[in-house]
Amino acid sequence: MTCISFVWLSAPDLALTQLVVETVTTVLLLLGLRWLPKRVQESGHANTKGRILRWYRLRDFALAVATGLCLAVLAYTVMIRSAPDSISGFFVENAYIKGGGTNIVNVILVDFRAFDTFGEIAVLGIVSLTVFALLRRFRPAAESMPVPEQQRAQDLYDNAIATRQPGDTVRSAMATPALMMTVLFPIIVIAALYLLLRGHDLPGGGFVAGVMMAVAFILQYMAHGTIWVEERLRVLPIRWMGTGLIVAGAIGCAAWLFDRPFLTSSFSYLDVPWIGPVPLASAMLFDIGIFAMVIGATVLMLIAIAHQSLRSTRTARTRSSDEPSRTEAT
Amino acid sequence: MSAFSDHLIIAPVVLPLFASAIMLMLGGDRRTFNATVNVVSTVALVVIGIALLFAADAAPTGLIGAYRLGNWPPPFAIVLVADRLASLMVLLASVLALAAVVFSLARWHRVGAFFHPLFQFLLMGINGAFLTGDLFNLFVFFEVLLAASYGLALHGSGSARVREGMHYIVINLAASLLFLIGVSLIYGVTGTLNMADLAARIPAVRSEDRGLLEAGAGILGIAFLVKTGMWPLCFWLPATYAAAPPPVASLFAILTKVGIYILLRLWLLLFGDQAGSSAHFGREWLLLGGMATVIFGAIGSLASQSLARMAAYSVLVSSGTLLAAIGMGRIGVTGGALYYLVSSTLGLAALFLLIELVERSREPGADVLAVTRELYGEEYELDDTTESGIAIPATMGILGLAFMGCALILAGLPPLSGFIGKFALLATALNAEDGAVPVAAWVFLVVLILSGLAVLIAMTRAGINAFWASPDRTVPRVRLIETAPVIALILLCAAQTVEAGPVMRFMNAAAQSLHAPSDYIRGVLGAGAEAPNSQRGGQ
Amino acid sequence: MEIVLALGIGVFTGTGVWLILRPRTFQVIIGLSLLSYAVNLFILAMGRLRTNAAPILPARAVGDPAQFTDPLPQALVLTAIVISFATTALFLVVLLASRGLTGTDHVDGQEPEA
Repeated sequence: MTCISFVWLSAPDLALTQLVVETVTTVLLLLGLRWLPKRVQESGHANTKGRILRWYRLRDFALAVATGLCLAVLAYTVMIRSAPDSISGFFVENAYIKGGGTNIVNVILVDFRAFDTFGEIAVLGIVSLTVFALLRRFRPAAESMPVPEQQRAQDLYDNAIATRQPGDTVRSAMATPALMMTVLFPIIVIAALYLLLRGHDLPGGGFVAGVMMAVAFILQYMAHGTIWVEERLRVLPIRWMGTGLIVAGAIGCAAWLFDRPFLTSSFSYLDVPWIGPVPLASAMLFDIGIFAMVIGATVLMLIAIAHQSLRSTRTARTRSSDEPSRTEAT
Repeated sequence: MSAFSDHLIIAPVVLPLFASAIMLMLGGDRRTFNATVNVVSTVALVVIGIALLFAADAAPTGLIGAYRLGNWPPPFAIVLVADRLASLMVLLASVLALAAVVFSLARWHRVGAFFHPLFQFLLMGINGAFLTGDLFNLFVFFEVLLAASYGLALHGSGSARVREGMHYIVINLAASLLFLIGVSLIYGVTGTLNMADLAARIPAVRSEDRGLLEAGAGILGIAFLVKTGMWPLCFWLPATYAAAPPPVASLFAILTKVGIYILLRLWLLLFGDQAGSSAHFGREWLLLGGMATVIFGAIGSLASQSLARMAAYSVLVSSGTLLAAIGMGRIGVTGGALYYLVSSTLGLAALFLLIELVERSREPGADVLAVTRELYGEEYELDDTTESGIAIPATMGILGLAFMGCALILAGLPPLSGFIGKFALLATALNAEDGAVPVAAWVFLVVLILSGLAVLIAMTRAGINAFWASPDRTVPRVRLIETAPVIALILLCAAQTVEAGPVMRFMNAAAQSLHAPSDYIRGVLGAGAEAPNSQRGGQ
Repeated sequence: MEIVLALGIGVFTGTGVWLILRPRTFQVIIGLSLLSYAVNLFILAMGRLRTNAAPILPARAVGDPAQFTDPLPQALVLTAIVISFATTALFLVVLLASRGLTGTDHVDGQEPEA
């Protein structure tokens, strides 16, 4: 719904970004759901407890309504007043003649206010490092440890028939989707690169492209499993992150050579023989740095979470094959 | 100025960025390599901080200049501004960082992954927040430093740490959302994000929009006050700081000061004497909230059951004092507040590091008050302490002296810098120009003295417990690399006392330029744009 | 048009706050996501609403601010989207880790009677 609002309110870049980011968030949540309890445990409360709970709910409800109302009123009050003389007029006027691009929002992000974008990719990097560090020592909750029921049923079936290996059921069920996802990989990569390269002039840009590439990687993980993909992964996510930071930083520092402040950009046209004048902006290189950083950070986060399933599946599988499967530990 | 020193302003932000990038590219998680890069980068930051400080002091208006990123004209570009206050804070952060990283080399950097890259990112965020002159850029750097602080607070895992880390994250997420709402409201009403431009536009805001502007500023203020730890938004602070790894906790001592710096800068810039009808917006809140925080912190430190908690409550006392001092809104008080800020931050950082050393040989729960021993005595979990270091004969002596030093600094007793700081604050608060001392100043005096007493009692009790009480205790095994930072920080406070004259002169000069924002505005927007009461030129 | 957006923001915020105050993990995360959507829409609203005026310059020339909607809030929202995505992911992982270590799903520290 937010995505549609963005499209409606003339914000195509935002709509694109929101869409891909929501996709990745959904995948993350689904990966995380694995470790949360299966059903809501409502134990029967005594009467007094019930009254207290009801009072809490009422208080929460009142708080929620109050905050919602406040924000709505504030938003409405501002929206009906005329806009002040804003600094964005400068950006609109100069996006092409001084920035070299026609997608004003992208020009703001990688040129006028590129320093903000720097900080933003730093945040992404930091968070993925933290997620990785935290999950290294991750011990899942006791009741989530045993292999999920679906997997257990599949393993029982596979083990019962002599010609099948554990994991065969999953593989055959996933055969068609896996094929589609494998074929999709180069297509998504090209789409991502397309969005990256056209970002300066049309909706697109480093972020959208980066997250899209990360989605391509996730699909491969889903299709073929962690082990298969990591055997083929040539570049480590951490290297992607480091490269992205260094590229972006180097572009910024390159301006120093010309005695200009950090992150000053320049652009010109290159006359390619048959294609004609091709616009080249140094901000494009900055965008590529962002691209690399976003891929690295997102993939690192997803790998870290995905690995938990791998690690505990292996231990839980060996455990459940020797002893009768446990039900909820509480 | 030579081309190199032109870019000195941005160096505190760019240097940690490259250090982290190098660590990620080449180091991965190789600790020795990362540790070396980290230490080298932090030392370089201290040097840069000193250079900035001297440059700011030498500049005619106290402002080195406004660094325009991307070379775009002033209100449209993001600017970095280095004046006396900003360079002071950058230097303070670098010094604390150096102490923390040297301390961590002993064993703390090994308990989890990616300590050093996260550390450099934290420094990048802190320096960016101090130097920026743009509201949204401030938000971005705030997020950088928050994200890195989440990572560092969770460093090493463990059930208490993760639980407190979770609360810390939730509170700060809410504060970030409020930040965004506040910034966008201010943009919606005034049309600019640049701080100097904002200050120039505020007097001209239409009266029907003023309510919205003040609402935006209020919401923004709440976000900063959460970071500062003003009561009643501070309940997360003691638990989080106590649970964090010690070198991290000592660096966190400056995170509250980031909030204070921003409040000081923004409040005096935007709502000073020349802001038309919005002048001094919210000063009563700052005053009252600050004093409430001091009282809360003082009571908390008296009631603490562990040394780390007591130190965390002392952080609150220091924050509250500064908040109340800012609320007074007078040049002299601000100068004293800056002196107090430096001295208390150094003292707190030293205390957090010291506590870890002292607690090594004591059983958990040793500080539990006799009255609560039956109730709480069983609750403490053992950290995994691997014995490192040798038992230096005079260890207890050195640690004891250091502890006494910290107590003197924090309680504000002579001869160390805490006393001078408090004295400066009180003297200027009570020294009214027109002869009549406001009631607020008297209340401030009482609160400050009582809190000093409370901190003194708490620390003395803790000190006696730790150093004098049990005759047959084992001496903690400490390494030189761990005691050196503590002693260095305390010596810095002593130096601050010895050189009190020049230091106070610097602080007063900084306070003066803070209270006269037209220099700042002119410095950022260029000579064409005069301060308030003049019409805005066209783009 | 403004009323619709304002109501939308209000509903998102209210629901988000309600969910955050629930004791269980998953609801807190969804609540946080909803709140960040609300704030993003709020920031966009600060630029005043216009339909069919996407800030893409049609010709390679000087742009006319009157023809387009305000691009600056859009850039701010993009930054905000990325940052909230990062912090949501981090929060999810911390919740999982906390659950693993403390064995309880209740973020407010109160567990149901065993």
